[in-house]
Amino acid sequence: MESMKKVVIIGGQTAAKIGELFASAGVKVAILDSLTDSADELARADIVIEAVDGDGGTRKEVILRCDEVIPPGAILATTASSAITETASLTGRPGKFIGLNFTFNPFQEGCLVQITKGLETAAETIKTCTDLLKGAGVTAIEVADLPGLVLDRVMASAINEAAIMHMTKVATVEDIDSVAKSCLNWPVGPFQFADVIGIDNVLATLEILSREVSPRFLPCRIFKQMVAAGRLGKKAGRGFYTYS
Amino acid sequence: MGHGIAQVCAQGGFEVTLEDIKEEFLQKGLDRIKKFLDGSVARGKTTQEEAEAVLGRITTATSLEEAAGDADLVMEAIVENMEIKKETFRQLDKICPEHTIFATNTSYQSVTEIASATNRPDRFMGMHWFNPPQVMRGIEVVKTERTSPETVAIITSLCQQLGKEPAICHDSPGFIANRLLQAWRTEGLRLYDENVASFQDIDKALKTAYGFRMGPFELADLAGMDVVMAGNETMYNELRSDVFKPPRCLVMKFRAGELGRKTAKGFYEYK
Repeated sequence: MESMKKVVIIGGQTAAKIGELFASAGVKVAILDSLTDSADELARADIVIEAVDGDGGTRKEVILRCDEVIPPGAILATTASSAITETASLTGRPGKFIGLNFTFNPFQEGCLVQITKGLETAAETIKTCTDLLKGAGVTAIEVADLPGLVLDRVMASAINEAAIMHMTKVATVEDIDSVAKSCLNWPVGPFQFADVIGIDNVLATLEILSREVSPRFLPCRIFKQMVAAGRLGKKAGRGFYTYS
Repeated sequence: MGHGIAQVCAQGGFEVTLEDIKEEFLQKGLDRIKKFLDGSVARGKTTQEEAEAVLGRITTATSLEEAAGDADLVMEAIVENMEIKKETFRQLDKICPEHTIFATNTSYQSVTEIASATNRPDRFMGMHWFNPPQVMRGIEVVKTERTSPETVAIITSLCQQLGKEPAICHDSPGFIANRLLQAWRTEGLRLYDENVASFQDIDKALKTAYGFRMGPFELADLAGMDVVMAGNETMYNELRSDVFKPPRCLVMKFRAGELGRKTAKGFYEYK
């Protein structure tokens, strides 16, 4: 039997949630909020997961630093949902670089990992990650390295169309959400969903999709306006709905 | 679907006449209503007396004259064919009193165009019910440029009286539900076209991460590729938006005759 893998996760809130998931399944895991004074943990890691919250620049810095200090045989993963191949090419281990994008269900129990293969990701790297997640009882799927992966792309399409319907006066925000739930049995309406994931995130996803996948994702004008006005959704107290 | 709508209206306390072209179709409809009500009684959801009262409020007719001559509201739930719908309303327009409101149950047809066959576009609306009508809470209430605010108010409050949740929308392709569903489902199917993930994984992802009851491929199998194709084609032609362009995997399944559950094979196999 293969010895148990030692997992190191780097980052803040997201890292903590992922760490909890592994720890509760009995996986050996260490969570680091920075790379300073943690040379020991990193030098002994089998799998290092970069799960930094925030902008791409910080992510890249962490990944490059990890690449220098972790064992040559270790797998380096990022929770980013795009540019896996590109980021892998900056490291000295493209075959051992992979995307592990965690989505925690915001409405009920459940977590999904989108295992993202870069062009150079080795089959063995995918297998190790698949086995690790399976062992931890986490549902995972394999996806190709294309912006938005599966989840963001499908949801972005629905949210953008809902926004277009709203802006062209087909129906109100409330009525569109009501139809999603009472006619389609959706867990939440598209605008409630957008408010939960953040209007800034919706806009960013649509922008990258419209640039790199297809112009059909051209963001509805309302998103840009809402971001400019600070109506970022639930976290800002105001998005399509107002929260108190 | 007509019998289900008739049942909901009778349950709401209205006198209902169910009209169809043949006696046997009407009997089939009544049998289904009885079966549904028997089930409700068995599960303690309603009493035997109430079930009988509901049935007592439903009469049948095989001609529009007999059925709609003194109606306050006519709900049409016939085949999704523009010419047949228009012809039916042309006749109803002659038969029905001045005040009668007309409602068409359609998923994709233009309510504005159907209404144009009558001389009462102000008393004309779409009422889009979902299957099964006895169970599904939502109804899309579709108004055109010509529908009067009084008609919208009457139909909206009728829906509420029937225990439903009406959503008001303007006459536009696919209304709210089918436009939203298609934007979502079509993108799911397209991910498989592009080999981003397996169809099983795409279904699994949306169910696990966000709690959708079914994934895009399970839904396509349930509706049938012929129905999904027709929906995509209509939306794509009407809105001229690539969001609704039929994905290759759907076109191929359709051409192969693998229509979904009804042929025991679609994206998945059924025994």
